[in-house]
Amino acid sequence: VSRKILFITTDQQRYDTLGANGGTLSRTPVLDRLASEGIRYERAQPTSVVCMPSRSSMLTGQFPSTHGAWMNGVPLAIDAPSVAESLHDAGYATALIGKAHFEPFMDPFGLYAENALANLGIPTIEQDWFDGRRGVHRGFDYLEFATHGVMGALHYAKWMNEQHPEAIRSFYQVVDREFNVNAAGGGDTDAPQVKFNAVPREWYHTDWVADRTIRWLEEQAADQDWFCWMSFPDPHHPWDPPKSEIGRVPWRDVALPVNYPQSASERESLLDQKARHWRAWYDGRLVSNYEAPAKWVPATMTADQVREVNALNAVEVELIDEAIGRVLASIERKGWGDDVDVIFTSDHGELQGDFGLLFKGPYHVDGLMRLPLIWRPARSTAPQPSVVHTPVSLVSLAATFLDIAGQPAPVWVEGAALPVDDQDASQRSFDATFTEWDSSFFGIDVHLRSVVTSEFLYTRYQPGTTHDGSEGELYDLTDDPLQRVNRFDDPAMTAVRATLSERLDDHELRPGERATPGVLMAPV
Amino acid sequence: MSIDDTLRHFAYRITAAPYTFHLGVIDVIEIATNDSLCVYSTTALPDTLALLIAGGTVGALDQIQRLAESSRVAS
Repeated sequence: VSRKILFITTDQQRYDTLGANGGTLSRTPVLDRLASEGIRYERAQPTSVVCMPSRSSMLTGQFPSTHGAWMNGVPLAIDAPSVAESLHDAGYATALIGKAHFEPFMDPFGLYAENALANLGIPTIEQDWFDGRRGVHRGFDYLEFATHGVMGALHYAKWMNEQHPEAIRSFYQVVDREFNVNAAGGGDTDAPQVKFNAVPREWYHTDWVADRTIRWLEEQAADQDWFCWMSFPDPHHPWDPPKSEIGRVPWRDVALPVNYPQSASERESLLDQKARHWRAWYDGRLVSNYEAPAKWVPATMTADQVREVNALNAVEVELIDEAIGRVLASIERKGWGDDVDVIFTSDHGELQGDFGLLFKGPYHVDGLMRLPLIWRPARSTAPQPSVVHTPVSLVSLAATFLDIAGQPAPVWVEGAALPVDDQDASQRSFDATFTEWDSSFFGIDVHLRSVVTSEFLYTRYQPGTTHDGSEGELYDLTDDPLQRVNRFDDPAMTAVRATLSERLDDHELRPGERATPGVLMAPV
Repeated sequence: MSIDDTLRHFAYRITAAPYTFHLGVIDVIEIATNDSLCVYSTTALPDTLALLIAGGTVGALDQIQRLAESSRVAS
């Protein structure tokens, strides 16, 4: 019996938001059960801490410096390699339902297929493929898109505008009149990107993504192999879950995050140990990227705002868990329960109060880089539950899907299939992951390269507008799991730094064909 | 919009939302026989949307180069 694949992603979800990972704020029984039945990864890292490069790595099995979509707003080449194309060739029905984001959302000139399909009313479109053939868009037979809220031309926004126009104004306005990420506050604490949303739960995008996935699955023949990427836009900001649900996690009862320094002096002291752009952003002296509100100054954030954001984030995580439960139940009803591999992860994390910061940017610490990753192999394979402590990268997902499908990994894949336990990881030399950041935003250029091992997190800053190439960060993950003490200049760490620097050099010089870096076409 | 064949100058505006201001100018400057420099400059508001123009300009310059070079071969 061949194995079907349900690939579930969320957007901007931290490792510690799941009960299986020790989280206590959200109740996530569905994902916790998958973790207990399968493989839970203790240190899963993205190739990038923003959406488009990270998601493109999931699809291509390549690092951003290879696939060329180096930052949000840089479209992945239409003929980039795609694991969905390989699965399609292997006879799999292929679908992506929810948030794709391989192409920019801001698209006033109508350049991108992702933004056109809803209006065209067709499930996919023929495009050039990596190997010179033409086929369905990036290998997907069926595409139905959603993003954060109800803006834009995607399927969910169109559905809301057609079916429930009265609820449109209930959502938070994600961008302001100048098309910057909106800094406007809401909720009880006036926290940025927060709003009480009167939309009924069943119309919210989390349930919509699950509903559309269930519908697609029900249309498949019982003996059809399939690969379904179900991609929830939450718990990415805005934090505007249905108001009917926010009583689940009363924000006044929420403890402050363990890595939120409560006094301004402590926050500033911690930030001053890091590369200079951390403190500059906190103080409102630097905006290096589009992903946080340009007009919001982190230093103004209050403890109560952190509590409220974390509470609403937890509500969104619970809604996702319940939506996944509905999809899994539909799979059981179809009789596929033993034949489906389920893989769950997120594209990157969220600072959520760590170091007094919110949102994301060029900040390579666990808040953004340590992700939930669960693989529940098909029950028909009699999987042995395990916990993998070795660092693994989401660049391994494409090879993992192909391995599940019994297909060889093509030459363009840069990551080997995920290990099933630490012994497997050791035997196949998994020992480090790499994360890249390259941004160029209104003349502010920032370039980071990070390597994570079981013991250390090391970031090297390449020369840019803000950094001269001499700065870096080195954290001992054993003694300093919160990454508060930067040991980059510690003489006792000279040898460690040299070794990790060599690993970064090796990553930069790795063999293989690279795509021409794409052009920044939009802010996001 | 204005076109000046003598000066090899083209200027245009986008007057539709979401732009609150836009002015695009393309100048072609002859720097040698069969060799020209094309300058495409744009001013746009709001700032964020200028990024969209900047991205589109790269493709436009590529297309202008292709057109110019193909017409040179043809002639």
